[in-house]
Amino acid sequence: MTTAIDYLNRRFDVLAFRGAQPRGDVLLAQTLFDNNTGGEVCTGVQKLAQRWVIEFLTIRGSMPYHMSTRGSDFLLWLRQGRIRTEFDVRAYFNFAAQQVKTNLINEETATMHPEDRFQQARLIKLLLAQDTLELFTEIISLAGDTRQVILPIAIAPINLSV
Amino acid sequence: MGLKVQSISELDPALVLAAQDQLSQLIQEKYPEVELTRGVIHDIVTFLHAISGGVCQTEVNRVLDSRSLLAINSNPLLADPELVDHVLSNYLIERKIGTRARGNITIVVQGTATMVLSADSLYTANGLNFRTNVPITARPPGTVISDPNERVLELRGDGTCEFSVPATAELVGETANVRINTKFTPSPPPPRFVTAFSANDFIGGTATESNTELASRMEDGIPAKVVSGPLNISALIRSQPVFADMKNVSIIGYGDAEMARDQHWIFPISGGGRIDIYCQMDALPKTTTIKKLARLIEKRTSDSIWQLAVQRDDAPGFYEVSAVRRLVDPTDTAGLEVIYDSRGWDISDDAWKPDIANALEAAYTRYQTSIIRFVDSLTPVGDLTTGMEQEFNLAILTQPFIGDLQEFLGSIGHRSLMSDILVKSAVPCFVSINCDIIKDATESAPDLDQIRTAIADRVNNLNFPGVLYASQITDVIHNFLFGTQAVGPLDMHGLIRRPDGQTTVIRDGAVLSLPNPPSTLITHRTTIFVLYPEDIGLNVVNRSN
Repeated sequence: MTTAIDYLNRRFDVLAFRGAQPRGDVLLAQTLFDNNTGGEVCTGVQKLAQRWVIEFLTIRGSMPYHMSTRGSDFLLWLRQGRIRTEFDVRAYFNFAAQQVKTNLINEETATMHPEDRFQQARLIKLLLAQDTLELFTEIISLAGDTRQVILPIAIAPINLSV
Repeated sequence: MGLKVQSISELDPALVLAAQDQLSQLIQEKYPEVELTRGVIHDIVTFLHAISGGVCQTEVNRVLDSRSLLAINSNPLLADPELVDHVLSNYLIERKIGTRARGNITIVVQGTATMVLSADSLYTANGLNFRTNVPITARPPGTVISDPNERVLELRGDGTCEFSVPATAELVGETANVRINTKFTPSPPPPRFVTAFSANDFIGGTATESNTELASRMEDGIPAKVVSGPLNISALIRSQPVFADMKNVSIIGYGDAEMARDQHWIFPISGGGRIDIYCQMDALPKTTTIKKLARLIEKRTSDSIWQLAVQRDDAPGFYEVSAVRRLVDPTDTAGLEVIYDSRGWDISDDAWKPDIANALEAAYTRYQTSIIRFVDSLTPVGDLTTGMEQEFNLAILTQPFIGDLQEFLGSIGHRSLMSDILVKSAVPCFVSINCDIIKDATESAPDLDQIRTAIADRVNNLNFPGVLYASQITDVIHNFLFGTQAVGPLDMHGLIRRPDGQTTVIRDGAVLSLPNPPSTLITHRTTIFVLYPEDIGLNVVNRSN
């Protein structure tokens, strides 16, 4: 079991998705601080998961200048109506995950801690409801550590009746 | 482009990236524990800072691009105009601000009833818009008027009347300096409208100087403004506000092949001490209209021959009498045929006289005079008596300010004590150009008026080039073409009115070269190309296949 002392002198980022618990599904708050506590930082695989989520949910081309090639096309494809079935979700997730992987690896250096470096993202499960798409993903670091993230994505309501 | 960044969308991505990399490195050195790959600090702190840094660096670069003559000359288009103005003010050079062309439009209407033309009426010529300056009331013929905004309708003899209104171009620039008798189209046409044309040359239109033009004029600010070397003389001329808009000047002196005035000795060798200055005062020559008294010298079966003298002060430095009309003839008629033009010179009244030995040396100077004979085929011969005198309207083509410039440079305060100086209108080569513009049948035609204006603007600003290349013309035309449109073969034609009164015709499809015999004073240092937009024939044809 890792303890806080294992993360001494490691690089950290500000935590943007707060409220994670060791076990169970928890709806995270997308906030840097709240009324009761100040901001928090994250490192290790949690930081890696945050990197992956930000990259995955950034529509490619939506950021200007040198960042225009960052992000993935997953949300764009979703908005364009290309993703209609569970099969589509899996296929396009794999396309987008490859785009994210390329971007994350490009900015990594050999001096980074293996737990901070990306190895793979897997789609463990998905739920496609009338107005929500939930992606259960697992982020795996180069050190082999994993972190599960559930991405609830609102989608345009569809008529499932025939 | 100002110094300040107006929108972050105009930032160079490389500058933003460099700013982010720089900040990331500084943070990493001071706080190695902060994660600077993609994440919250990256997106919210360093990336936003990089945009701010990109703004600052862009503005710094703009200042660096404008701070010195070296930077300005290396890329004048990048330099900020305000900073360039500041730098060049150190050399006593000021940017010329563009002005609008002004002139008069003659409007022809049916009938003699009073008509009112409102101010700000829109008229178009050569694709350019002009607005009338004031409301004009045109009264029937014979009416006595006192208001400056009133006109008396003048009968044209065909049931129509004409009157003129002052007008100003909408845009600044010299392309609006349209020639006399250029057709104007009203929008909308006033009641009883028949036609409209320019009553005289529109003048005064000048473009605001670009950084390139301003920087190229810097050498006029540095030299001493005296009659000495070519740069000094050019600087002296342009330092005078009245001559500041002079287009181009070519200065001939000792040792130049074109200089013959310094050989007025026993032996035909150059002795120096003479300066000839060939001037292009404006992009196009101007037409001066004057009334002259002519004498009937011969009555023939169906027409008569008249003679008049153009004195040296009538149109100093003139090229030719472009039209002679009876006083009753409208200015948009062709005019009478000039059959004789003999040049002389007149320096008799001047305290200081330049050394002029013959009419060739006096040609196109302020001392030039001329005897003109023309045929009047319109007036019935039976009413005329040989020796009788009658006034005619003369349209004379000349470069403006030639007389004023001669007076200025020849004055006791500016004249070199070691040489005399003679100012001349640059020898004109009147160019006409014809070509096809080929397009697909489904494509719309390009704006031919704009193309003509742009071609004329390019050719008239070539600065004593000596040769005119077809590629210079097609280069201009291509700026206005789109789709599959292309330029066909060019036919370039030049008519040189030589200082000896003869004409030389040159013609070529690729390169129009001056014949270059210094003895006739036609060389690349004396001769300019003159191209009026209406002398450009553009024919749009559909591709056959």
